[in-house]
Amino acid sequence: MSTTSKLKPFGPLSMAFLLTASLAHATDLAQIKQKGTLTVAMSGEYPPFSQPSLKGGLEGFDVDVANELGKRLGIKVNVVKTEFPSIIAGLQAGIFDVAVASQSKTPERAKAVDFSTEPYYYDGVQLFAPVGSKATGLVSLKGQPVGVALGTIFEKALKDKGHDKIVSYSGEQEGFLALSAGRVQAFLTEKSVGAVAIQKGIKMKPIGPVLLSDETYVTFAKNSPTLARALNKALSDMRADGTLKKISQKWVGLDLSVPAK
Amino acid sequence: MDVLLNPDVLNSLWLGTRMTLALTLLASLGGLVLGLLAAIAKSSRVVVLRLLAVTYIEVFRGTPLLVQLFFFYFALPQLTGVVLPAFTTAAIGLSLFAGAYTAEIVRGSLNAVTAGQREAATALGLKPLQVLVEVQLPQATRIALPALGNQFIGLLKDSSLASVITVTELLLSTRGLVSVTYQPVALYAATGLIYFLLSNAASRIFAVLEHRLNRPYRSAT
Repeated sequence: MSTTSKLKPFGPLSMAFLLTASLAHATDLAQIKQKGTLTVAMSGEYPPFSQPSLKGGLEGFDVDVANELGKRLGIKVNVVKTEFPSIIAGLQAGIFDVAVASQSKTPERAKAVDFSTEPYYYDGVQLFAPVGSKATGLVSLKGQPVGVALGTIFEKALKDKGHDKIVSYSGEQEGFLALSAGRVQAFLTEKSVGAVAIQKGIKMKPIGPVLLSDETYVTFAKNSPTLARALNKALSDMRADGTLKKISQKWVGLDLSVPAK
Repeated sequence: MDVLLNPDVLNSLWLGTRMTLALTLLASLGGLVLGLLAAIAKSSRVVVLRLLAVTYIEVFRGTPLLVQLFFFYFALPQLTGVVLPAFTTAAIGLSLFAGAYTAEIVRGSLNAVTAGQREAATALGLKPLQVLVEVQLPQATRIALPALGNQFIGLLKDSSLASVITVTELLLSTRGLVSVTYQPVALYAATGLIYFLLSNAASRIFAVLEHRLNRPYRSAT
């Protein structure tokens, strides 16, 4: 029954107003339903999870999950492409309602936004090198430049493992390009992202074991209890009735909805 | 706003600013040299030189800077096997880009020097190179200065495109800071301010230069 909601994220003036408001803006379920659209953010640069669709807009695992969540919440979904490092700030400012952007949970991120109680897929962090590379793992690449996408946990993972020559690119596409151009000797990204890229013809191979397991969550602004409840319920329903598994098989060819054995 | 009080953040912004300045200065100098050469070549009587100059100017004016930088960074290593560091690639790319525009500025300013000057100098027995360097260019410089100042200030901002080929100048530093602090408003505001201050300082320096070059033309008051 809120009449003072300032939720018009698409009027440019309102957007500017929202951007200048430094308060964390909570967008709860009732306000979203009143608005009539669930704005979902993702990077669009992370095949097969989010990638540009030839028909315009985005497609992928994340897109399907977002659309399914909207269906179960009973709200129309608007998928918005945003650069990955800005997603959290966008959620805080109320520009997006939810992000289904293959985001992993870190303490810093958890301070800024809320995460779904369960991950929506389980994967791993994997190093990839050009096909002719003699490298066998991160240790064998000591002192050599390794690429990551800006703002991802892969950047932090490299630093934690003691690797300091890190080159960051705006997305996986530039990263693979850099790999083939010899700009970096290896690229760190999600196991499935690399696997699908190899299937699509990128000339690289995984090297070394999976560095760490990676769980990705749906995120949304803090102080949105009804939204949180609805999203968590929808997610667990999707997992229970096999929808999540079906989406995973469609885009990745594997069931990522459960932890790897 | 207190993210701006964090010493690590300030340090990162400072390093980025230094990188931006370095790129801008290198690209301006490189662009000036290339522009000068291209302008002279384009006005030359030798057809090959003219063709080379025109091709260079049209290619680098006719394609977006971002495409040029991408090409030098990603495609050139694949085509020629030469892998230059990102900073060098950016400096060269920006210089080539700036040179194409500077060439037209220089050519325009040389045209603006009255033809009588060249004729008189030649009549006095000066060789063509002397005529250019000792008579035409000094007068042309004063005319070209406002446009060259524009170029420099433009390059200050254009250098931000080097961020996509991983050069950690000011914009990439800011994007990295935003991705770990989630404070885009404060950080982008700070970055905008830094670019503005740099441009403003450059404006003033060019104004002083113009004032000095105007000295012979100022009437005694």
